[in-house]
Amino acid sequence: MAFDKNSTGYTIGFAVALVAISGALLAFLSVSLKEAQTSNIDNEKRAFILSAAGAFTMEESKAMSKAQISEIYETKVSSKVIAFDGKLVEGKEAFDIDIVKEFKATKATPEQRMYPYFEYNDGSTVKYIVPMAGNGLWGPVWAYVALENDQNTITGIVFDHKSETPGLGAEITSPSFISKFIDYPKQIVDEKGAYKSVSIIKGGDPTTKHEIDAIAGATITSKGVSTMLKEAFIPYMKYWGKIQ
Amino acid sequence: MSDSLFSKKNMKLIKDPLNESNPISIQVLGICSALAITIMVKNAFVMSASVMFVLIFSNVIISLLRNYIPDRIRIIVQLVIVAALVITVDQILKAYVYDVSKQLSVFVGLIITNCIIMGRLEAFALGNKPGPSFMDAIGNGLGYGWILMAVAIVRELFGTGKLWGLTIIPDSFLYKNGGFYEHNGLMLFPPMALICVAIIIWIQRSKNRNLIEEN
Repeated sequence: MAFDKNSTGYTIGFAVALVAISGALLAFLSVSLKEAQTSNIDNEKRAFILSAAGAFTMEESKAMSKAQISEIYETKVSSKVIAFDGKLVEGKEAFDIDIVKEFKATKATPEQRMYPYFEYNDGSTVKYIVPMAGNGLWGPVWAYVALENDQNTITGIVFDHKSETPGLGAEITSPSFISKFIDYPKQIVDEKGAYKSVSIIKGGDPTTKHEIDAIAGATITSKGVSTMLKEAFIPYMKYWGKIQ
Repeated sequence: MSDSLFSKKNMKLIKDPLNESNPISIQVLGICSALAITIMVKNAFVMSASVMFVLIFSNVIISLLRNYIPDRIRIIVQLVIVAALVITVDQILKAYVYDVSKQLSVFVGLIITNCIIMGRLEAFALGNKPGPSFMDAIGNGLGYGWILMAVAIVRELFGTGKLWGLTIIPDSFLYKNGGFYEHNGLMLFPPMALICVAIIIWIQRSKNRNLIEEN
């Protein structure tokens, strides 16, 4: 061989060249795929909001094109951002707020977070969709909860999670768990105007307005979802004047 | 190179890892991912395809560079190339099969640490020409893939009654719906993957007694 491949100079040169080349290739790849990736994430978010509102199910949304979903979203959904004390925040785009990041941001206490919500109006009914995030067993869990136009009764809910155990914690996304919220209407504020939200408890009475039976074998996920539901509605109920 | 790519010697490179030198069941490499992503057949398939992609490209690239890689930094050179390929796979999955990439989550990134890949690079690609390295990568990728698929089929079918997300065991069979059947929730836990792999190892070694190590 004409050169010594084990000399120090060559070794350093090789390392530098290798890193420069692979770095450049990855940067190019990342930039060129960025658009497709963000559009997937946005599309999923629109599908979550619309299926919570009852426009279609998540299963149906998988068969729909991004353009279709986006068109329904644009024509029927408007949004607002509020602060923890229930005051409207101007100049923020609700759709751009990543609710999981907002929840996880280390400095953010509930008072510092921003609370987006979405209004679905298909001409005959109005629904209010409240996004929320919490902690599951292995990672974040999040949900979009649709309230009827009384801004109190749950009419639809979509859960998602990052990495809950399939068959156990991941069951929060299953139709059978979701139907527990719908079969017997659940309410956030009770008749006396006290903030109750919905608790997920082992042996909870599913026929009441504020309780749901937990998933067997998924105690931590159930608790996480319960805590999330418990806290998430406070700013919205303040904004809507339901609680002080 | 006098041998053609599909010569007997090269075909052996594909066939051996499927059975006699299978990376999972014989060499017991790459077990972590076999436990983690074999709950659903679809995930196992995408994972196998991803590993195969990374393995083929890294094997060929390392083999092409084998005479130029300084010995002292060869491991880190392999890592850089593998890592770059894994990030490529991850980005492509996120852009084109978003659902699947969400389910595989962290495990795609962990292909970097899959011992099969580093193992093949060290043991084969550094000492062989690109052609045989390519065949070796396909063989080991398939060897890894078929075990993953076999385990995933068992776990998804008996754990959730589905295959590739399609319901195979009808809900009306279920005990809660008045039937006689109950899904085996244990299948969904990592230990069952280990047991499934162990059963494959057992069958393989009782069929081919040469594989049994002496104490």
